Amino acid sequence: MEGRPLTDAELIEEARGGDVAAYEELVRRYEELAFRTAYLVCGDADDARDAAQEGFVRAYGALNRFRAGAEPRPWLLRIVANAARNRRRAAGRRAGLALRSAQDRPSDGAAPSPEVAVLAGEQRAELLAAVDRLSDDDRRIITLRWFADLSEREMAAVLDVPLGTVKSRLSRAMQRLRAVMRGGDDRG
Amino acid sequence: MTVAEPMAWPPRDEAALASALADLSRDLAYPATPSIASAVTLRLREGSAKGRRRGRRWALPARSIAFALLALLVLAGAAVAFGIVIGGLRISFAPGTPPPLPSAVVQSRAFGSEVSLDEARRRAGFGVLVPSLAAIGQPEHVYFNGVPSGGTVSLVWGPQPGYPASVTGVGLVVTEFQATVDPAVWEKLLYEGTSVSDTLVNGHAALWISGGEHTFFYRDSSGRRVDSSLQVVGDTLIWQRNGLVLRVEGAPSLSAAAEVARSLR
Repeated sequence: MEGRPLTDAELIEEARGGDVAAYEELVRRYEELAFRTAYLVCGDADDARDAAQEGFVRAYGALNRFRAGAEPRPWLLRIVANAARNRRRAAGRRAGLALRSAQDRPSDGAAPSPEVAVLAGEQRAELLAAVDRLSDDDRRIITLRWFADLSEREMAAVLDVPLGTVKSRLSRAMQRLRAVMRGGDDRG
Repeated sequence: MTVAEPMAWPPRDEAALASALADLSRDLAYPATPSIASAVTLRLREGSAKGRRRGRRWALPARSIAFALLALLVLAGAAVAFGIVIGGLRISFAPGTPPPLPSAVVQSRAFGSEVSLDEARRRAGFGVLVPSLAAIGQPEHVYFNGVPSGGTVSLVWGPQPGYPASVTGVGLVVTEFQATVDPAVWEKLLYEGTSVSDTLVNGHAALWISGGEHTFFYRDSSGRRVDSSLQVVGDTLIWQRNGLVLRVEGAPSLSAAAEVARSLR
């Protein structure tokens, strides 16, 4: 087994025994996902960095409560997202999401698959602007689902609500997003 | 070969909207992910050093520990057996030369690059002020950061008796830059548990920000608001003087911070 990278579960086990280096490796695996998730929640890069740091520090303190065999990804993301939510509430501001410029887009050269929509540039901008006009709660659930690419089950862990609540909130948020795009401002 | 058709706009139903969002997600620009792992490790190592003394695994947020230590120091300042007294606190100094600051601290605090005091004076677009308090001495580290225009100079001392380590390992920081504090934004930027009081430093209006974390905005010389949000982990005195914004962070009390502030030359 020499040279085999340790699994997440093994790293957690080492970290529980006080091995900070093992924990650092685990953080390295999840830092980008955690940072982006925090960024989607709180909308500010500095706050997202601080929230991710704070979340990982808290998670270390809570390692003893982590259930062996459970998935670390939603557990870590929930702690980071909580830290990000607190900062969002405190800061009262939100930077809009931005689109990459055309030359920065990945050019995989492959033809788009038929089930993936092809949006024109102005449609992308319009859709993003519509997402940014949603309420905090609606925007968060939509960005976590589609931009952070979390499953509904992971979102339930991150938001700390039952799966059914995620489904219904997501569905309502999608309805309101469509309403915003039709030019209405249906917040009901 | 499959050719995807342009979709009806706005999306006709929820499935079409979901598909559009999935497409959009590939074109989002995220800020570059900062190095989080090393900063987390730094905080954990600091925490476990404190935790071992108490004989149990450290599990509280570093900030709570920092403030608990701060409170203990304020209550039991007399317990420090040697040094000089400033503002009701005894302050004394560790012998020898200071250890280098970990790079994660420098980076996460947005200090900029480390320079000599002379170089900071050459590069800054303003006259750099340095505390003349004999007890504090010359800064252990000097950093220069090119923003806002005219630059920011940070004078940094490591943890010392009287100036306990903050969560990022820093004892005392004096920051100087050319800008105008926008008083209208203060309220929004303070985190829970932070209080702000008005005070005076040499006759200049000043704010004493204590008990919590805060970030702040400033305006550059063209009047544009800059969201630099320097993370502050200690109590801070901030004031303006002749077009400069000056901050003293990490002093254990308002009177100690004011003492440092008044000594700037």
